[in-house]
Amino acid sequence: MDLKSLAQKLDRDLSISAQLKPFGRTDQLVLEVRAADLLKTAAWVRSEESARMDFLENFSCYEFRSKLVFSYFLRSQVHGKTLILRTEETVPENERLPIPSVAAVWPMVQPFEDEIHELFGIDFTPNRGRYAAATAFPLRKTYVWESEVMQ
Amino acid sequence: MRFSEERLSTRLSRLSLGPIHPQLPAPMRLALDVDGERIVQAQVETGFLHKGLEKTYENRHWFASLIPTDRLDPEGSIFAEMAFCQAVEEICNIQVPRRAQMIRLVLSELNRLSCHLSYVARVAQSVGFETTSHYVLRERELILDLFELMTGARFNLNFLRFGGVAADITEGFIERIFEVCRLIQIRIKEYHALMIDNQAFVSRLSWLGTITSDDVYTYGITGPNARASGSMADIRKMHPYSGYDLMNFTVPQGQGTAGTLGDSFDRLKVRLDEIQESLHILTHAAESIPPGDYSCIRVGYDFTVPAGECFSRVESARGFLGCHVVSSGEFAPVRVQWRTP
Repeated sequence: MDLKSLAQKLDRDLSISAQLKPFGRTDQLVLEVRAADLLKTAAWVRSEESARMDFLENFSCYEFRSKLVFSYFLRSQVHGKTLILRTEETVPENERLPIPSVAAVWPMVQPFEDEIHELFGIDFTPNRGRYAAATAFPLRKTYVWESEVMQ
Repeated sequence: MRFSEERLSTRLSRLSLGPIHPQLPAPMRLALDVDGERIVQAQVETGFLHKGLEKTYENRHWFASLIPTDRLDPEGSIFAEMAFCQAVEEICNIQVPRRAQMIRLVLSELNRLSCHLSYVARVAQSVGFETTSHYVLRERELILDLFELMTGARFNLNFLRFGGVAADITEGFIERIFEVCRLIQIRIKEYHALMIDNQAFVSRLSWLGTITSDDVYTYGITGPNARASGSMADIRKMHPYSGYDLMNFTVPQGQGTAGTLGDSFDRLKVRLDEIQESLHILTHAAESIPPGDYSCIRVGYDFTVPAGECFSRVESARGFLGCHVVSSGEFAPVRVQWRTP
């Protein structure tokens, strides 16, 4: 599966323009879409015959240069290939951020979403009954962990 | 005297266990609906042991980051060290010497043996086979002795370094590996006689706690628990690392021979089969450790990682262990995220 042709097909089928970015110094590319297009893209790469990304290996989030970066590490059990789907959002200061949940596409994402919900203050929609009480988000860069002194 | 149906209540009983309980392997809360001795439904609540590990990394030098890595899973610490080192080495473009790769592989397989033997001992204990449990722990002790001989530690090994390992093979280590492998090979036959061929043991595990292939998919289960349910996924085959591509081994799968596919018996059987595969790998790897350096760089507190990111994959004893490392080129990681089994 060629990621460039996959991105072109995504544009043709759903009119979603995805960007291809390098992942670290590996040969692998990242398929980056807007958060608003995330759910549609996820469902598409799950069902599209040339991709068939049916297994979510990992879902991670990190904050870098005032952006929250969400990475979905996917695997096709049919083709044996991997794909990284990514979306970015600007970090709202001390506020929760809504992001579409992909649990309907990959049910195994739920524990990852639960953790990111609590530690980054992300509200995955639709809400699965997660309780959003916290006002401080430990894994955001603005959070200061008093007991940990930088060496 | 006859009782009416109303007076003979058949409601399920609710049994609440944990979060702290001596029979639980880790802090967790279990809300069990039981019908006599049968568990009809279970609700599991985890997360009572959140260590703040991922935040800890953000305040640590790269070199010091290896220390909390061990705490991810103290029983299988080498796997986390391996995943973290591989991710950092990929970002830094460090080529690990072949000798160091083989030492890592040997330690990984020893750790897999130790974890699987612990599992077997726990299962034996939980079904009332105390003696068998002690036999198995006796053999695990030999593995821990090997760790001590090689690394100086028995659990939190902290032995891998960026670019290799902390020290070269100690005198007598390879010979002891062959000796222990031969011994465990004999003991495995005894375990089979005590457990797999013992109807009293088998009947306590077959048809119990079945994980279907749908469950494997829905919950993202990996490792021996998934393989017991028919999955073939093994990172050592899918993304070979640290010399696994040179090893000849098979990936055992559940067969459902005693009950149904994916039951507790299959999970035990797959682990016993994996122990045998690990013994083959260990013997082969110990024979083929090449001469050369055990590390290609000396890493200290001034070590920094160039800007970049990597997601490394390792097959731990419990399943797929992933590590996503992000660096901005500064003294500490931007993010170290773990995908635990």
